[in-house]
Amino acid sequence: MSTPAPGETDAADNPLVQLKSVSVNDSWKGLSLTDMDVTLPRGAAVQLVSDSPASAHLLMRCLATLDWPWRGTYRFNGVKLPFTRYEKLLDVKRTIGYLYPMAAMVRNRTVEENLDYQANYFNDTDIPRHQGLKESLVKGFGTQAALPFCPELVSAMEQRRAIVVRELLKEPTLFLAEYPEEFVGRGYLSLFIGEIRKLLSRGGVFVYTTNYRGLGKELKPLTLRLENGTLSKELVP
Amino acid sequence: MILTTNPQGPSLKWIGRTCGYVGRTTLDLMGKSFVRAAFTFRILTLLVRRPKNGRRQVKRAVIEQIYFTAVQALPLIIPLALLVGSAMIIQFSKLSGDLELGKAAVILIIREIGPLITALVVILRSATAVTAEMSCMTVFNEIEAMEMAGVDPMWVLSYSRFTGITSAVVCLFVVFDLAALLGGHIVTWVTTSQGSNNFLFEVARAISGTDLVVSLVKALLFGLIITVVSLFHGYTTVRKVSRIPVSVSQASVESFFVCMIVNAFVSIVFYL
Repeated sequence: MSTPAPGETDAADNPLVQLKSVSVNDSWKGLSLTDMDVTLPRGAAVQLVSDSPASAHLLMRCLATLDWPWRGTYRFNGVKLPFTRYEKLLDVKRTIGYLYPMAAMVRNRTVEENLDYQANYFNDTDIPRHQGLKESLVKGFGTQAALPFCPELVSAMEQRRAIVVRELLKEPTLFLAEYPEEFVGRGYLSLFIGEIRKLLSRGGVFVYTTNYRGLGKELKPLTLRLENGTLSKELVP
Repeated sequence: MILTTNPQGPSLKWIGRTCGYVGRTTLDLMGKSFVRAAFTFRILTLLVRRPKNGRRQVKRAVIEQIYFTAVQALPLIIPLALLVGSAMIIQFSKLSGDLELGKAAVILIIREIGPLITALVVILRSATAVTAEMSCMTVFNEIEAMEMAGVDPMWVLSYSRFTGITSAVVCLFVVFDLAALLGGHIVTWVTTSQGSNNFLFEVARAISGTDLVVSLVKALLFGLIITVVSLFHGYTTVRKVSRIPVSVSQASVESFFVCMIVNAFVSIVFYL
């Protein structure tokens, strides 16, 4: 049995995400969130409720490690994340799925190349498994017709569904989604929820914001309330 | 007088404002220089490392960049070099008669004009394209999308463009010089009384190892400058579509200006 590296412990015993006194700000919008303490247990669906969509977006970006906290600690899988160089976070980012309104595909590649990009980039990918999963997701979300084209040449809804497929193909442990109903539409929502259930059963965490009440009925989420620039209470398993 | 009698006077305020402006501008310039130097260093460190993953993607991106920057520029640079070489030799033959045309060709074309015009062509064709592409990728969150996939944009985007553009500048410079000398040779042959091989013989006699080394050094530095400036402006484009043309314009002007300064500096160091 290998010895865990310093700062690491047995992953299964730890909550997936743990923020301690985290403060983050968006200098462009003059927004800041301060002293946030939150623990997201494995297998939990969490609905983020906020009066300000911009604050919720900032917290989601912080969870996705796209915006770096200027204070506090962020533990992912029990490991304290080093917010010093972006390269050190790439391995974490790889395991995070993130749907947000400005999510994009690389324009000078076809939709199919975008879906395969991550799998082909990493040497440790099980390509046959990836191909099988891709085929079933592409078929399920009705994006087969978009595959040979560049993202600009397909409709906005097809592009958004393709982004959903891309993020699900990562088989993420943390899945963040801002208004996922706007990505998949009502027609594909049940399939999306099915995929999220699979993720939760694997011990993953799903954090989302939504305007659609049906999502809450399906997933029975914990609620995380963001008020006055901080989280109003800490979630515990 | 005003300073001593009226410490709050307009002159004192003007001096204060001017000093403040000079200080702020100096600090701003120093800050910008340090950021650019750090970015250059970051790109250069990629040359001595190997990517952990995605070697196939990086290789593909490098080949694409060499194709876009070097191969696709050939139909432009060859006629341009023929025209420039011919025009230079025509002008110089008017000045000096038929004497020392080869030496003039070496001094004008190989040492100075060749690297500069090659750099100009690459700036006009590729630096603008790279800056626009990087700016679009930044503004439309494509770089974030790559990062979220765990892909390091420095390898796939920066390294590939650096190696592609730098090798393209070096190769295009060699092509430019050969084509310009050919143009000069044709003009000499048609318009002067010299024998057909005289011009090339003079060139061969006039050219030295230093000329070749200096020109290659210039081409390498120009490649580095063009890539770093274009990528830097592309990555730092503010989150607005309206800033993309501004970034493109700034990158091309800055690239050319810095290339001119480096060209003058290298020439002074080696030839003065």
